[in-house]
Amino acid sequence: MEKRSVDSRVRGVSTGTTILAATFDGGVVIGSDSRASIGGEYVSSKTINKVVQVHDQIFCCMAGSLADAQAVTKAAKFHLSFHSVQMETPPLVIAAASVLQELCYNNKEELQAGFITAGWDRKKGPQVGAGRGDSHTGSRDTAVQSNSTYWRVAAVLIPCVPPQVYVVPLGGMLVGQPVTIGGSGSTYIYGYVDAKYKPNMSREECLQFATNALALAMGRDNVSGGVAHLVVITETGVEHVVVPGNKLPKFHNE
Amino acid sequence: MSSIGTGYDLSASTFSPDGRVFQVEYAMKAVENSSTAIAIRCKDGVVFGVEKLVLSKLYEQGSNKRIFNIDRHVGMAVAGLLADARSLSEVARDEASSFRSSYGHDIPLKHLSDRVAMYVHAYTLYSAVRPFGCSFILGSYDKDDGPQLYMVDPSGISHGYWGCAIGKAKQAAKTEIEKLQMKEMTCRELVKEVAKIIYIVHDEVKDKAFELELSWVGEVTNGRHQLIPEEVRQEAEKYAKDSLEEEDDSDEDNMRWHVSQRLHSTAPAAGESPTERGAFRDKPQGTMLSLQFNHGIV
Repeated sequence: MEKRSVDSRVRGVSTGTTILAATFDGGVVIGSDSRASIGGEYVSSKTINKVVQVHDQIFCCMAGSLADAQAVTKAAKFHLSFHSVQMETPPLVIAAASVLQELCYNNKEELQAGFITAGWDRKKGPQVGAGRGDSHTGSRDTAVQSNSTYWRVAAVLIPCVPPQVYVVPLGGMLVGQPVTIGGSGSTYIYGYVDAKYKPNMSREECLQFATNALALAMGRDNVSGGVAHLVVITETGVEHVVVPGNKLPKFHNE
Repeated sequence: MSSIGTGYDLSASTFSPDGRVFQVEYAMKAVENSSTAIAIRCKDGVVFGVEKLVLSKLYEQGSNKRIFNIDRHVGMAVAGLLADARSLSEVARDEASSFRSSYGHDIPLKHLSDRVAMYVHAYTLYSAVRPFGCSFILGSYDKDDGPQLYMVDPSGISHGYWGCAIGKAKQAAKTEIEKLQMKEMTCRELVKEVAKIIYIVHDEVKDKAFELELSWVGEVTNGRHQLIPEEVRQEAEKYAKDSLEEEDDSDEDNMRWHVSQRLHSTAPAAGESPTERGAFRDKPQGTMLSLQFNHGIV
């Protein structure tokens, strides 16, 4: 089993990456950059899409080892498709995130992948969840679905709109939040996200917010870059928006 | 008529020449021997009522419950062999909790009932095991999907219902249930009706003492399945007893007359007096069994 180095560098192709998801009034925006790198030195692909569809209206962003993330999302996609046929209804976003959580947690020794799950379901509407996982960095505040009484996770109730984004980190924790970011590039935009995110934005405002955030991260993180892939999920459907590198917003220092 | 499947009824893995699996039908007869359980779905919840016969004064009150909690939002009322029912309630609990663990939310009732029905059905396939000798009714309430009610019988079939009854007086209970407009009622109104129905179908001659077990799940309990609180229970029992006293003997006879009409195909001439009580009591095993005949085959 490969040893994980202390600074969480991944062997093989990694998605040193920036991923994010945010809810707005009536939907969610989930997005990522498009760079895949090896060892932090060589860009192996400038145009990969890290936003993966796991069901009709549920998407995931991958972070960490690309191979691991693809294997997990493939398994999750199968699992969810079977589940939705059995249930005779599309799966809930929390179900999709839980499936990813089981996969990440039960295989945590072998895997190095974390996910953000976002989507729309008929029960809770738009939701985002992050499965960010760095088992060797401190875990984030474990939050609980604010209007669910069923989570047994020790909870710090985050006073916000019902969490609609689910984070499933490397270790296999599951957290629901209205907005979440992940990947190596996310460290550069925590301040921006904290300052600029507002709940119940309009679709355009949220898209602009997401694009700006990705652009800022890609501008500072060497292993994030390329184009910005964004997916907007609402009750009516799914829309892909791709912002090429030269069309990304520019800031004062560029 | 009671059918004896000579030679073809020794194991569940044998069909009879006319296409019946007798072991499964015999399992349903076991349910018919048990006292009645009913459940009715209304617009904001589900109410369960069980006529729990008390065989001995020495039993602790409230022991041998026939209503189980499967998950916080799901209740189960059973009829038939109680030991079989208990083991199935554990199966249902495992299903519900493993679903919650895998998918992060409450199990939808249809899925739970399908899974437990599949389990029950598996025991009707092999000669090495016998079918479960119990039927059960599952009910739940969810604020998005509303109240749901499903019944599973020993053959492994499950159906969704607005109201259903299992056990020895199920025909009489069904007649009473059909008279209700349950889609417009609330749980609080329905509790009284359920208690009344159990009191009506209870046979004072054959079975002496009984305990009325009542439970509900709905908006009134915030989606949690619970036994009825004491003051509601007392109100319901009082309503039930009062209604029984109000009805004349003839009224009860009329009901029995109606029920026996359904059981016997010939209708008496108008003005003829209601069929003797004895006739009703002697027939039930046979006629209800012939109605049961179609149950597993459909």
